[in-house]
Amino acid sequence: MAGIADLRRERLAEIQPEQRHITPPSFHINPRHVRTLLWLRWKLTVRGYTRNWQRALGLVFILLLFAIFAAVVGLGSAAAYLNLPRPTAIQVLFGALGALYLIWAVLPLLQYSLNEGLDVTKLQAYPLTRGEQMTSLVLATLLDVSTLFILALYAAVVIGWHTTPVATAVTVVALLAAYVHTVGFSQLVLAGLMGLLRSRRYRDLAVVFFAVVGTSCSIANQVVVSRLSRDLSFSDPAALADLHIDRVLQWTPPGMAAKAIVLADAGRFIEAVPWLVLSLALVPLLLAAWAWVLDRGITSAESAGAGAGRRRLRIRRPAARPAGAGVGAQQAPAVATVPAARAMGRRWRPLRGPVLAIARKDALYLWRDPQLKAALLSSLLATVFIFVPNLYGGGRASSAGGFFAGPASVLFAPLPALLVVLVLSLNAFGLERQALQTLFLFPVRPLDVFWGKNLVTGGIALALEVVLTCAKAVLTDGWSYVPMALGIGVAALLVMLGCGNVTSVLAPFRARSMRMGETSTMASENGCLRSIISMATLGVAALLLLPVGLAVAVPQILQHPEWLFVSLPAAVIYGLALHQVATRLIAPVLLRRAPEILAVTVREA
Amino acid sequence: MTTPPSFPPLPPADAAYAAQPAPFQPGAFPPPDAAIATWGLTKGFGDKIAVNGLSLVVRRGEFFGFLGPNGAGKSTTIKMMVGLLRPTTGAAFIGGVDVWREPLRAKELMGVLPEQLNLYERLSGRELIEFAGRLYDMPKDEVRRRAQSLLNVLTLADDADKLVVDYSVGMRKKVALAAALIHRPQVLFLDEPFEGIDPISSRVIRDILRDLTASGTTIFFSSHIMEVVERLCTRVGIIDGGTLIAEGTLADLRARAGSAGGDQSLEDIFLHLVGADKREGGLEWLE
Repeated sequence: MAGIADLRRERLAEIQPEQRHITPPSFHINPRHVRTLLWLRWKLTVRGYTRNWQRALGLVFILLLFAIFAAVVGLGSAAAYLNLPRPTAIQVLFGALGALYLIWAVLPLLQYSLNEGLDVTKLQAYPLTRGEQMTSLVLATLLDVSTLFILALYAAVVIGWHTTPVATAVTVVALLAAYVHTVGFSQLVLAGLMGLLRSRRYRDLAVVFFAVVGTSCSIANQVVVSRLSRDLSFSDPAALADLHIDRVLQWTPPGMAAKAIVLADAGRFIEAVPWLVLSLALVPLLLAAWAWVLDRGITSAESAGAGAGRRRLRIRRPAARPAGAGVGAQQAPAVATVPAARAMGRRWRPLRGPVLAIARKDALYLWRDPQLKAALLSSLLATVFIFVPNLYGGGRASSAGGFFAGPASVLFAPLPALLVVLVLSLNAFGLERQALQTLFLFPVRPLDVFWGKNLVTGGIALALEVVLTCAKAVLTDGWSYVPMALGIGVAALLVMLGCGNVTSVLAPFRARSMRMGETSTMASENGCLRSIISMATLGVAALLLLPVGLAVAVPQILQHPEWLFVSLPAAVIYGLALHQVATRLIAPVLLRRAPEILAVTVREA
Repeated sequence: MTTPPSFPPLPPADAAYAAQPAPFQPGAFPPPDAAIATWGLTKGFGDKIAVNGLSLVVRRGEFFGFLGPNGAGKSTTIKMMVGLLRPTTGAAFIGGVDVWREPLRAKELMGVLPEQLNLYERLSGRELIEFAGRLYDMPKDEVRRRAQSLLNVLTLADDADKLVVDYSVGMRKKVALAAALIHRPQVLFLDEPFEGIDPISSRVIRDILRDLTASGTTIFFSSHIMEVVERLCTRVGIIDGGTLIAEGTLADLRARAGSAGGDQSLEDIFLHLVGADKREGGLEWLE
C-alpha cells in the first residue's frame, strides 16, 4: 500500500499545481479501453434482457417489430429515391436525414436512459480519456435497437444514390459523417441537459406528459393526422419538390452530407467535395463541444447528486441544545405517552385523526405524485367520449338523432368517474408502492385506512360525476335524467369502492414506478396472471353492478317511471350496504395479510 | 443468551397463526420486565434459514446493540419483531404484547427506523412527521408542536417544507427518525441508523438516543459501526448465520471471547466471535 501511495505522491509532484485543477480533456484513444467499454455496454445490454425469459421474449418482439417497421420505412424511402423524379427525391433525402437528426436530438428528452449502458458519470472514476469515452458512446449506439431505423434509412440512401462507384463512395462517407453528427449531437443534447433531465421536477412533468399523450394518442391521431393530411398533399411529387427544404437543411450537418450525396450522384464531384469536407470538418468541432459540455455537466452540482434547492448557500447550525435537553428529556412532561389518545377506546369513528391523515396524504399524493396524477388525468380523458357525440352535431339541436347525443345519454355521464374509481381503488396498496412499508409500521386500523382512501377517491369521483352529469344535461337538455344519473352513479361508486377494497387486499400487485417516456401509468410486473386476475375482478364487479343498472333500466323499459322513486334509493342502499359489508369483512384480513401484501407490492433494494 | 425459565414448544407459524390459542402458559413468557422478547424466532426463505430459533429478552430501558456481518439476519429479525415479516415459527413480544396476535397494540408501543427508508417521498418533511403523529391518533395541536420541536432538534427546520424526495440520505434518516419518535415510543427499533449520516447529524442522533434511554425508552439498535455500539449500548447481541451466537454486556462478551487483558475493543470481540479475525490469503501484489 505504501508503494501505491508513494507512486501517487510522485505523480502529483510532477503535475504543476494549476494543472491539478484544470486538466484538459484528452482525445487520445487506447483501443483496448474502447474495447473494454464496448464489452461493458454489450454485457449490460444482454444482461438486461437475459435475466428472465419474459424480458428475452419481449426483446424478440421488440426486435421483430422494429425490424418490420425499419424495413417498411427503409423500403419506402428507397422506393421514393428510385421512382420519384429527382427534384422530389432530393427533398425526401434531405427530409429523411434531417428528420433522423432532429428525432435523435429530441430522443434524450423523451427517454433519458437511452444509453445508460455507458453512463459517463459512472466512468469518471476510471482513467479514461474523453476521446475513449466518446468513441465508445458513438460505437455503442450501434447496439441500440433504435439504431435499426438509422441503418435502414441509410441503406435506402445507398440504394437510391449510387449512380457511379465514386458517387457510392461519397454517399457512404457522407452517411458515416451524418451518423456521427446525428448520434453525437444527440449525446451533446443529453450532456447539455443532464442537469435538467435529472431534476425531479422535469422527470415528474415528463411522466405526466407522456402518459397523458400516450393515452390520448388515438384522439390526436384522429384529429391532428386527418387535418394534416387534408392540408398537405404528399401524393403530388411536384408539390413536394416545391417545398425546397434542401435550401435550409443544407446548412445543417446532415444536410451537408445530403448535399454531397446529391451532387456526387449528379456527377458534380468538384462541388460535392467541399460539402463533404465541411460535414467531416464539423465532426471534431461537435466532439469538442460535446467534451466541453460533458465536462461542465459532470462536474456541476446537479449531476453530482445535489438538488437545485441545495444550490442556495445556507449556513446552518444545529439548534443549540443544552446538555441533556434532547427529545426525551426535554419533552418528557408534555409528551407523556401517545396513548393518552388511545384511551378513547376501540370504537370506530368515521372521521378520526388517522382517517383524515390518510385522506390528506392520498389527496396530496394525487396532486404531487406524477404517476398517480398521470393515471388520474388519463382516466379523465375518457370524458371526451361522453361529449364527442354532442360535439359532432348532437345535443339539443338534434336530440332525436342518436341515443348517445340525446337526453337519455345523461345516464352515461358518470361512467368516466367510475373509471377513476377503478384505476385508483382496484390496487390501492400497490399504488402506495415502496411507502406501503411505512404505512404498515403504524398502528392504524384497517377500517381507517379504507375509509381514508375511499374518502378521497369517492370524493373525486362524486365531484366528477356531478360535473359531467350537469354538463351533459346542459348539452342535451336532459335535466330530467340528472337525478337518475346521480343516483346510479353514487350506487355504482360505492359498489366499485367496496370491490376495490377487497381486491386491494386479496389480489394486490406491484405497480412499477414509471420512468420517463413510458405511457402506461399502471404497469405491473406480474404478466398474464395479473391480467387474468384483473379481468376476473372486473367481471365480478360488473356482476355486482348489475342490480344498480337494473334499478334504472327496469322502470324505463317497463315504462313505469314512478318505480324509480323506490328503485333508485334501493340502488343507493344496495351500494352502501355492499361497500360496508365488503369493507368490514376484508378489514381484519388486511391486518393479517399485511406482510404478504408487502411481499407482493414492495420491492427490496 | 438469555434463556427464559419455561420455554413451551415452538408454535407452528402459518397464515392462521394469529387465530391460534397461546401455546405457552400465561405469565411464563415474556418476563414482566421485558420490553422486547422473542422466542424461537425463525424465518426461512425456501431452503435458506435466514434466522434460526432466535430467543432474546431485552429489558425495559436497555440500549441493546444488535451486531452481525452482512446477511447475518439482523434486518430480517427486526422486520419480524416489528410486524413487517411473518416468522416461519416463533413469537415476538413488545412490552408484553404479541406482535403477531395484537399487531395494532404492539405497534402503538414502538417506533421503527427501518434500514430501507420507504418513506412517503411526495410529502414534505413536516407533513411526513405530522402524518405519522396523526396515525398514532394524537391530537392535532400536539402533533404540530412535537413535529416542530423534532424538526428543530434534528436541524431539519429549514428544509421542513421541502419534499422528502429532494432530501439527502442523512435528511431522510433524520425525518424517518422524527416520524418514529413523534409518539414517544416505549421501544425504538433502529436498523443501521448511522449509515450514510454525516458526523454532525450522527452526533445529534446519538444525543437524542442517549436522552431517550435516560428517560426509559428501550432501544434495539442494529449497526455496523462498532465504536457507536460500544459507546452507546448497555448490552449487545451478536448474530451470525441467523443464529444468536453471543449476548450480554461488553464485559460478558470480553469474558466469553477469552480476553486476558480485558481491553479488547468490541470490534475485536465481534471479529473473534464470528470467526473473521483470521484473514486468509493476502494481496502480496500490492507490495
